Amino acid sequence: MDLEYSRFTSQRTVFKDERALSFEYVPPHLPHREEHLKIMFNFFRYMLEEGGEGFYQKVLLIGRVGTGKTATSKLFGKLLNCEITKRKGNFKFIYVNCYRERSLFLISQRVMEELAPSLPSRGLSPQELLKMIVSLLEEKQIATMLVLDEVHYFVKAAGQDALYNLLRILEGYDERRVKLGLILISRGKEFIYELDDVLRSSLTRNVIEFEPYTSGQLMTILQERVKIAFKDGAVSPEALEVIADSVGVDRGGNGDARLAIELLWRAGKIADMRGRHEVTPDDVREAGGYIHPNIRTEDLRSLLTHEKIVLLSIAKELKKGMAYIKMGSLEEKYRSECELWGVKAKRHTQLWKMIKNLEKMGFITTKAASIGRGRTTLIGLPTMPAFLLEREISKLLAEELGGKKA
Amino acid sequence: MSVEDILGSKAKIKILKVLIDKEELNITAIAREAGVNHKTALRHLEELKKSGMIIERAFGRVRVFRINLSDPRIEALKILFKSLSEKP
Repeated sequence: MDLEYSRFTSQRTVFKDERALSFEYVPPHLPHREEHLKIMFNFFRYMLEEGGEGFYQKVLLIGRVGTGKTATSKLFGKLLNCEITKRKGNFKFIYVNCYRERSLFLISQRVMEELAPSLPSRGLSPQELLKMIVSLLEEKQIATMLVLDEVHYFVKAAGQDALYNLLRILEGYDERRVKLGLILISRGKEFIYELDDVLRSSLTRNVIEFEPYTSGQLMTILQERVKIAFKDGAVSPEALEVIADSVGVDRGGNGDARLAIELLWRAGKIADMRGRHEVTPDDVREAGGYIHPNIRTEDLRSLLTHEKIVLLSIAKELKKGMAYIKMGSLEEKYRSECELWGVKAKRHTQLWKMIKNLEKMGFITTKAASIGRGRTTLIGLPTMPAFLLEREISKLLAEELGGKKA
Repeated sequence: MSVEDILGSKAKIKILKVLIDKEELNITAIAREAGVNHKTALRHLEELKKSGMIIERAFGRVRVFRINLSDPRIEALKILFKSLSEKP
C-alpha cells in the first residue's frame, strides 16, 4: 500500500511554535502577575541572600482554575534559579502535583530523588526521609523551593498530620542553616477551615490571591502568546477578541486563561485543517464547540423552560462535588429554582416525566438505589461538566425569562 | 593503604570506580553496581574508609558512602581509570 504522509497533512500552518500553547509552557513574562511575583520575591528574599541565614517561609497561592497560580510559581522558580546560579549558589526547584504524589511518603521520595538521586528512598518511613532531606539540605547548602500544587487534595488524601509534618520539617534543627521555601497552591480556601488552629494560623499568614482574568487582561495574555506561538499576522485581532470576551470574568466567563489559550490553540488547528493562513473569529467559535463537545447549546435551547430549570438544578447540586443527586433533593432544589426564576413549579409526576425525558435525550443518567427502607432515584450528569452546564443554561434562561436571574 | 592493597583487589577497584562515578551511594547500591556481595562490599568500604579515601555519612539508619574528593589519591585514580578505559 502506498501511503503518503502529505495526503493527510496540510502544508500550510499558522503556528510558529505550537508548544507555547501547551499547559506546561511557562512564558518568560506573565502579564498581570508581576505584582504576585514581587510579593513572592519579598517573602522569599532570604533565598537570594549570599551566605545569609536560612529560613523557612510558607506561602499559600489561592485562585480558581486558570488564574496563573502554577505558571507564576514555575516562573518564580526559574527567576530564582537564574539569580542564584548567577551568584554561584545551589538551587533546587521541586514541583509536586498532589493529584499524582498524594502521600507524605511520595512527596518526600520526590524531594529525595531531586536532591540526591543516588540515595535510597525505599524502605524508609516518610519521617526518616524528611530527616534525611533536612540533613542533606544543611550539608550540601542547597536553597530549595518546594511547590505543592492542588494541596487541598493532599490534605484530603493524606490527612492534616502529613501537612503538619511538612510545615514543621525543620523543627528540632537549626533553621538558620537551611534555606527552604514552601509554596502551597489551591483552588479554594475551603480546605483551610477544616484544619486545626495551628495549621490554619501558619497557612493564613502569607496568602496571595489570584483573581480570575478580565477580558482585557486575557487580551494582553493572548496577544503575547500569539507572538510566540503563531506566525506574524496569522491570528486576526477579532478572533482574539471573541476568545477574550467569552472567557473574561467581566463578560460572564470564568476568567480562565487556560481555557482561553486552549481555544486559541484549537482555533489554530481548525485554520490549519482548512488550509487557511489566518485564524478567524469563526474558527474560535467552532473551537468552542470542540472544547465542550458535550454541551450543545443548540440542543439545550430546544428544551422546555421547566426542563431547563431541572437541568440547572441538577448542575448546581452536582457542581458541589457529588456524583449523583437524589430525586428528593432535586425536587427541593427545583422548587427553589422555580421560585428564583419566578415560575410556578410543576408537581412530582410532571417532574418525574421531565427527568425521564432528559434521560432519553441523553442529558442525564438515572439509577435506582435503596436507601434505608425505601427506594429512590439517583440522577447524574454523564459527561457534561456541571459548572459549564450551569453557565450555559443560566444564560439561556435569562434570555428566555427576560432577565430574571438566579 | 599500599598500592598493592588498592590495586590488588578487583572488588576494591570496582567499588572505587562506582563511587568515583556516582560520588555517593548506600551499601546495597554500591554492592549492586559493583557486582559484589553485600558482605564483601562492606568489608572493602570499611577498609577504604579507614584509609581516608571515602567518607561515611549516616542518615538515621541509612549508611551512605561518599568519595573523598579532597583526597589527592582520588584525583590520581580518576586519571588512571580514565586513561586505562580509553582505547589506545
